[in-house]
Order: sequence, then C-alpha cells, then structure tokens
Amino acid sequence: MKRLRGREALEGYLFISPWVIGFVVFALGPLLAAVVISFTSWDLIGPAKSVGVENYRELARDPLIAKSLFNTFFYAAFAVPLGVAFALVLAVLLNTKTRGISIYRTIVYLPAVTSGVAIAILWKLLFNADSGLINEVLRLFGSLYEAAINGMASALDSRFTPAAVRFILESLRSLGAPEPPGWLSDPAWSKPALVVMSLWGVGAPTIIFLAGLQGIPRELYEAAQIDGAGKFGKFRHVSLPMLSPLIFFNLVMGFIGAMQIFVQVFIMTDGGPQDSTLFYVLYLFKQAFQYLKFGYGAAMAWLLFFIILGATLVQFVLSKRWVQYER
Amino acid sequence: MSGNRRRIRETGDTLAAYVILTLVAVVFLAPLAWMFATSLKQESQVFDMSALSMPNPVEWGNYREAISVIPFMRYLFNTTLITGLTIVGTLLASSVAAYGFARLRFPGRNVLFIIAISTMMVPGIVPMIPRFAMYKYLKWVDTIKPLVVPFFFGVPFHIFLFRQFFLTLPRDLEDAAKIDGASTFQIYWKIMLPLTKPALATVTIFTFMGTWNDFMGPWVYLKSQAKWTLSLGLASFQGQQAFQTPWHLLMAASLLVLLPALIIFFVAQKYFIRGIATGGIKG
Amino acid sequence: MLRLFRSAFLIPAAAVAVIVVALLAKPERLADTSRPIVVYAHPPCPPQLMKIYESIFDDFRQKRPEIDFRVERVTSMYEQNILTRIAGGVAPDIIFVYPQNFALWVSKGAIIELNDLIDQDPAFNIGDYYENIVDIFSVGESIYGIPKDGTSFYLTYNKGIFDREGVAYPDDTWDWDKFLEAAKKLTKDFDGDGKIDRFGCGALSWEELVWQNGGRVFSEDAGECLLDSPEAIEALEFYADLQIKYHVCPNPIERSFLGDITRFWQGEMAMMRSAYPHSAELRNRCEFEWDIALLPKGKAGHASRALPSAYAISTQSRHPKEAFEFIKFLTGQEGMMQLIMVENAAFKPVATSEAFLEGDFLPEHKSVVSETVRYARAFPQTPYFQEAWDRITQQLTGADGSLGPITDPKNPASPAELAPIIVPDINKILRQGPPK
Repeated sequence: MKRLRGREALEGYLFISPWVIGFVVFALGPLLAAVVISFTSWDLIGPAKSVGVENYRELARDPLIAKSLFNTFFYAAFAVPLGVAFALVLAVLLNTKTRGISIYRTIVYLPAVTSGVAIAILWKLLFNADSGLINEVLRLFGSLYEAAINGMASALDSRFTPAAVRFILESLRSLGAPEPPGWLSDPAWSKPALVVMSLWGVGAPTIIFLAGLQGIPRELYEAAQIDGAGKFGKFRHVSLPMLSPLIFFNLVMGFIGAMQIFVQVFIMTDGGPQDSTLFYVLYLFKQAFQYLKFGYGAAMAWLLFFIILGATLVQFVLSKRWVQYER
Repeated sequence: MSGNRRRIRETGDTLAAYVILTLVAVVFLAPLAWMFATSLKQESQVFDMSALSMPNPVEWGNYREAISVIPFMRYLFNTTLITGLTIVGTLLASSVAAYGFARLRFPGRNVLFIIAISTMMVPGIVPMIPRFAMYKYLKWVDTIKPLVVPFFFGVPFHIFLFRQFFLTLPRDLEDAAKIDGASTFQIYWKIMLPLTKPALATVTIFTFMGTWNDFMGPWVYLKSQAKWTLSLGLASFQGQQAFQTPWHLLMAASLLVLLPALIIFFVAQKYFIRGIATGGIKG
Repeated sequence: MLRLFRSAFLIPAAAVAVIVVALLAKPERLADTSRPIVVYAHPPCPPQLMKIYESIFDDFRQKRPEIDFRVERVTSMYEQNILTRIAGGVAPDIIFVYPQNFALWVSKGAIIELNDLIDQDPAFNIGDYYENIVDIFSVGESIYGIPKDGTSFYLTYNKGIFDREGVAYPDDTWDWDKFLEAAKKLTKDFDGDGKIDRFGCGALSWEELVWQNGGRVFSEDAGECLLDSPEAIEALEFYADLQIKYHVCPNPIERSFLGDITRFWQGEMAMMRSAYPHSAELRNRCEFEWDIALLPKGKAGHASRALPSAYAISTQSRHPKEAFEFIKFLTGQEGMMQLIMVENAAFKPVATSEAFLEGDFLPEHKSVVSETVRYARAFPQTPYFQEAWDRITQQLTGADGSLGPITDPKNPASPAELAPIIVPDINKILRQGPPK
C-alpha cells in the first residue's frame, strides 16, 4: 500500500512539474528579483546601481505618485460600484424566461467580449468633443430641448400665465441648452468618460449575477410572497442576500481590475489632459519603459501590490458584516 | 389580490423590463454600429459631416485600403501564430497540472494549489520588469517567445477551471482503467482529458480573447515591424503627427480585428458564459 | 523502458523540451551569414514617401551588393521602440536620431562616435553639411550623427484666400502684430453659427514664440527651466491668446479630430505652420495655389524649431563601416537628390542645387526652406528631456492635440501665474543626477 501511495505522490509531482517550473521561473523568481531591482537604479543598458531605499523615498515625495493613485482610486470608486449595481439590475431584468430574452442577453454580453486597442480607439472617437457621436447626440437633445423651451415660452406668453412662470421660461430660453462636456479633452470630464466606457463592458459580472439568480430556490421567493412581499421586497429580502457573496466577488475582482487599467489610457489619452488620466500603471510604464528608470518602476510595482492587497483584505473584513453565506 | 389584476401587473412589469432592456440594447450596440457605419464612409464625409450621418456613398473599398495601408496580413499571421501557440500551451500545461491537483494525492497538494491560485492576485505589472530583464539576457526580446513560452507552463486561472471540472467527473472510469493496467498518464491523456471538452472550449475561448487583443505584451516585446501583432498595427494608425489619422480606415481595420472574437463568441457562447459563471460562482 | 512513454515522466520531459526548443529556436538562422548584415530602422513615413525611399534602398543594394542591407519599418512611436530595443539588446545598426532623444542615447552609450569613420574616409567631407545641424548632433568635438535633413518650420499660406480678402502675402517684415492683424482679417464665421468656418492660422509652436520673443525654454546647460522669465511668459500668453482670446487658431479641442493640415488643404485655414515634408501631401491635395514664407519674427528676430534628423550607428552594431556606407549614400548626393521634392537636405550641395531651388514644383520660394535652417534652434541636450517635456506639456502648455491649462477654452490659466509654480518642478527633474 505504501509503495502505491509513494508512487502516486511522485506522479502528482510529475503532473504539476510544468506548473512548478513555470512558477519558479516566471513568477517566484521575478517577484524576488523585483524586490532586488527596486533597491537599485537601473536603465537596463548599463549596470545596476544600488541605491538603498532611495526609490521608496522618492515614492513618498513624487507628486505624480499621489496624483496617479488619486486618479486610479477615483476611477475605481465610481466604475466598480456603478458597474456592479448596473450588472445587478441588468441581471434581474434578464432573468425572465420569455422568448427572445436570449437575444438581449447576447447583446449585453457582447461588448465584454471585445477589448483592447480597437475598442479604445473606437471610444476615443466616440468621445471626441468636437465631432464624436456622443456629443452629436447630446447636441441633438440640446436642440430638442431648446425647441421645446422656445415652444413653451411662446405658447405661454400671454397675460394669463403667472409672471414667475414667464420669467423662468424666458431665462431658460436665453440660456439655451448647456454645452456638452469636453470628455477626454477636459480634465474634469476625462475620468467620468472612462467610467462611462467601463459601464459598457459589464457583461461579465452580469453573467455571474444571472447565474446566481438562477440558482436561488423558488421556495424562498414563494415564502416571501406569502409574507406579503412585492417585487422590490422580494429583491431586497431574497435576491440581494442570496447574491451577496457574488456581489462581493464582483466588487473585489472589479477593484483589482480597475486598479490596473492601462490600455485605454495609453491609447486614448496618454495620461492627459493635465495628468487627469495618468493612472498608476500608466505612470509606472512611463517611468520604466520611457524614462528607463526600471528600479523606480519596480518600487512602484510593489507599492501597487501592497495597496491592492491591503484594500482586498479590508474588503474581506468588511464583508463579514454584510455578506451572507449559505447556512 | 385577484388573479386577473396580478396577471395584468405582471405583464406590465415584463413590458417595462423589455422597454428598459431595449433601451440598454440600443445603447450597447450603438458604438459598434457606428463603428461599422464610419468604416464605410468616404474620407471627406468623415471629416466634413456630422457623426450622425449615414455613409453615402457606401465605400466598401475602405476595407481593401485598410489592409494595404498597413501590413495587415503579416500582422494577422503573427497574431494567429501567437494565439494558436498560447492556446495549445495552456490547454496542455494547465490541464495536466489541474489533473494532478484534482486526482492525485501528494503531500503539500493543497498548499501548492493555494499558491497557484494566489499568484492570480499579484498585479501583472510586478513581475514584468524582472521578466523583461531576464528576456533581455536570454536574447528573447523582439521574438514571440516571451509571449508564448510562459503559457506552456500553465495559467493559474485555467488550472483552476480545469480542476473544478475534473472534480465533477465520476471516478469509475479511472478506477476501471486502472484495473485494466493503464498508467496514470494514459488515464489522463486518453480518458479524462477528452471528457473535459467544455473546459477545453472555455479555456480556449478565454485564451483566445486575451491573446488576440493583448497590447502591452506585444508592445514591450515585439519591436521589429515584421513581428508586430494586430493590436500594434491598429495603434500605429495614430501618432503620426502632422499627418491626419484616417479614421474611416482605422474603423475598418478595427472591425476586422474584432471580427474573429465576435465570431467565436457567437459560435461558442455557451462555453464562454459557463466559464465566467464557474469562475464567479466558485470564486 | 517502453514504460516511460506511458508514464508521468513524459510531463516534465515535455516541459524541458519546450524550454530547449525555446532556447534554441532562432528563426534568423535562415539568413545568409556570409555577408555583413546591416539593419536600418526607418521611422514613420507616409506611403508615397516610402516608395521613394524604397527606390533609394534598392539603389544602395545595387551599388553595394556585398552588404546585406535590411530595412525595418517602425510605423509609430519610433523613439520608444528604439529605446526598448536598445534596452533589450536588439538594437538595429542604423538609427534615426532626433534632437529630443539624442542626449539620452549618447549618455547611455547607445550610439558610437563617428569621428574615426569620418576621418578615415577620404571621399567624405563633413563640411558639406550645414554646420549648425551637425552641432546639434555632436557633443563637443565628437560627432554622433550625420544629418539627413534640416527640417525647420515656416509658414505655408493659401494664396487664393489672401487674394480674396485683400491681405498682402506674408513677407520678411511680418512681426507678431502684423501676423495677428492678418490672421484676424482672414478668420471668418460665414454662417454666423458661432463655429469658425475658416481659421486665419493653424497653431503656432509655443517654444518658437518663446525664442522669437527673446526668452528660453531651458538654460544652455539644460540644468534649469527658464519659462518663468517675462519674455517667456509674454510668449506663452500670445500663444494662448491666439487660440482663445482672438481665436484665430483652432484650440486643442478643435484640433483633436481634424489636423491643421486637413483644414488647410480643405481651404478652411489661411495659414499653417509647416515644414518641407508636408509639401508632398499639399501638392497632392490642395486645389489652390500656395506658397511659403518665414514665420513672423518676434522682438528678438526670427526663430524656428529645428527638427532635423540624423543617422547614428548603434554601439551594438557589428558592422559599423558598412553601416556608415549607407549613411553616406542616403544623406549625400545620391540619396538626397532623389528626395528633393519631399525633404530639405542638410547636405549643402543638394540644398543649394539648382535642381532644388529652381525646380518646377511648389512651393515657389524654396529658398525659404534653407533660410529657416539659419534660424533653426534646438533644445540643449539633456537625458531628462522626455520627462521634463512631459511635465511641461501636461502642466502648462498642453501636449499636441491635448488641452493644457493655458489653452483650456473654458478656463484658461494665466501663464504669468502658472509658470512660476511649474518651473521648480521642472528644475527638479533636470537636476536629478545620473539617470536611474
């Protein structure tokens, strides 16, 4: 018996041997090396120079570190909760068994399948403040609004309308419709633009929620119905608690992903305007591959690791309060 | 509440849901539809007319021009090669490791598996700099090796997916095969692996989506133009300062690049969805 | 033994095999290693121009069959690409060098000194090239790059529009005031919808305005940023005013979709800051007559940004002599003569040749092209140029096509207030010591 066990163990190791080799060469080794490199100043062309903790001190002093962290957190703080909430709503809506619902499901998942440079360029064009589709549509709504206000102001321009109403309408008419935002050209709107773009890709969390919803036993809903719960009651008291582990999962994964956003900012804005979209990984990339400061880049990478780790741990701790696992 | 009233309310609810969903569907499809429309416009129409205009005349020739302005076929070949190799690599390596974790008992199995999974939590950028240095010394820069070779040693998420799947398969087949004298490797290769078709499909799709659209990796490692991938090719349309970006051609090229991903999605939706659901539910 | 094939030992064996294959696979083995290989990385280039270059390359191959000359095209982000290649150990033999990254490459020892090759070659005379451009690519007495073109900027204008509006063509007397006056007359909103239909001018370059006004961007040793001097601030204000206050130039948002060159050839822009390489595109596209003139002079006279390019040989090259042969070929008579319609040579015999100056192709006043070379200026060398430049453009002036604080149409910041705040940060970057 023992020999068989021994042989099975050996085979076990053999089966995972490629993973082990890969882990050592491509993960563990580089991680350790990254620590070492972060204590040097190195451009990869000449030799590395040891600089002790200077890189880490620089992390504390560099105003762009703080700025890029702020940018990234700002983005994550909006994109992740909004995305999860939106995905939840979509999943509930898609959770009907009527014919044709699968078409809607497909359309919702579809954007999540596309990614990368093609999509970044597409949205860059869509958001173009001057000629992009989004602002053209907004301007269209703007002119509709103006036409409506004009119509109302003229129609109600008689002595039978109270002066206050006439005054309001006249002021609105002279103000006109607001200008559409500058999106990627405006430091105040560049991050919101990226948040909007991220909402387009909520297909994956939606699928997860949908699967989760479909796994909730019908009895629970029926019990709630008997207790007098309506639509929203059922959602609040049955769906939400049952889905809470998945909500948590999507929040955590969403956060980790949001902290590492890169292709979009690299292609669409290169960190601008005025560093408003200088996200952390982009800044790291610039430091390492454009300014050739690989030591500093390695230090930045470790900082990111600990931030993500810390934030995830915090989320885990907080989750005890609201996530309800199966009894 | 009487049955009739309830049914009317339910229909009302469903109608409301459909209205909202239709709105969402339109908004979700609009960008891709616009992309298609713009790809068919003539250059002057793109520059002069509103984004809301329909292409007139419809310029199918844009597609031909788009693939001749950049060495599209070359990029397509490179991207296909890299994608194909990464898929083969992970299918082999991840499934084999997953089988070990799922079915074979050895000391430290659980610890090692947890280590494998936790590497997913490390931001990809942390090992990137040392790996670049390593590849420089190996003289692998400007080759596809850094992009392909790691896949032949397993991908943690794929190992996870395969293992989940293996755990759900009944042991009887393996037991029967053992009695017949098959070695563990033969059991894995000839019996278990073929049974994991759904997992194979899912991993294939995920790897395809990831590698086909990958930008950062190719940007860092593929330098000479003959080795570029489609994502680098698309990015090269821009950034030629003082020369106008040909948006219509860029949209056409982008759509061509998206096409394979869209096709695979439509054909293999089931597996794609199941893969994400599994990852989420068990995650 | 046969057991082995069925056993799990196959697995690590396969993994090792992958490693071995990866280490050994060298697709370049197909190359003919008997001839010295010279690899040249060619920067972004529009297709019509590329055809001319291809014929020059073929010419070279014919004349020097003993060299295996290979061209790689880098179609975007040239400097990034080359930099990572240098760091990755796979640099090409011949590199195209621009002034911006020149200091970086020299400081990293990425390119070699060419003095020996120059001295040892009796047929080659460095004096045939414009001296101020050679200086840009030298460090003291050591020459690192052989200039190819002396691209500098001038004003291209649409003669038809000027005629219709009764404005005199730009000439040597034009200063900022006359320029602004003309631009104002030429800027029109035809249908009164608030959107400008024809701009007087395309965007000027803020650094040129700073120089024209007597200021500097960097100090001579590149240790300090001097954008907080009164002359510089005045120039930055003029730069922003052109786009915002007077709105005779498109602001960055208006330029984000359509480039200036597109507006110009569509007849929606009367004047444009451009360089000689644009001429090819303009000849193709413009359905009107156009000509060129020097950029308006400032208080301190004429100045324009020199964006010359040169060829350098990388330290990783194994055949510097052969590489030098190509460089001589392209930058000298044989190469540049074929390019006179699209490039203004740094090689004096071609730049001053009759074929160029009297050639029957637009622009008419081609002498302006060489004249700008006289006023062309480059930034002083520093390996921190890219980082400092990123800071300046993000925090003060705006990058090409992207808003900066002073060019934000909705809320333009005042250069007088902003520059003194930004300058200390830039100085920190410039003084950070040997590159990390």
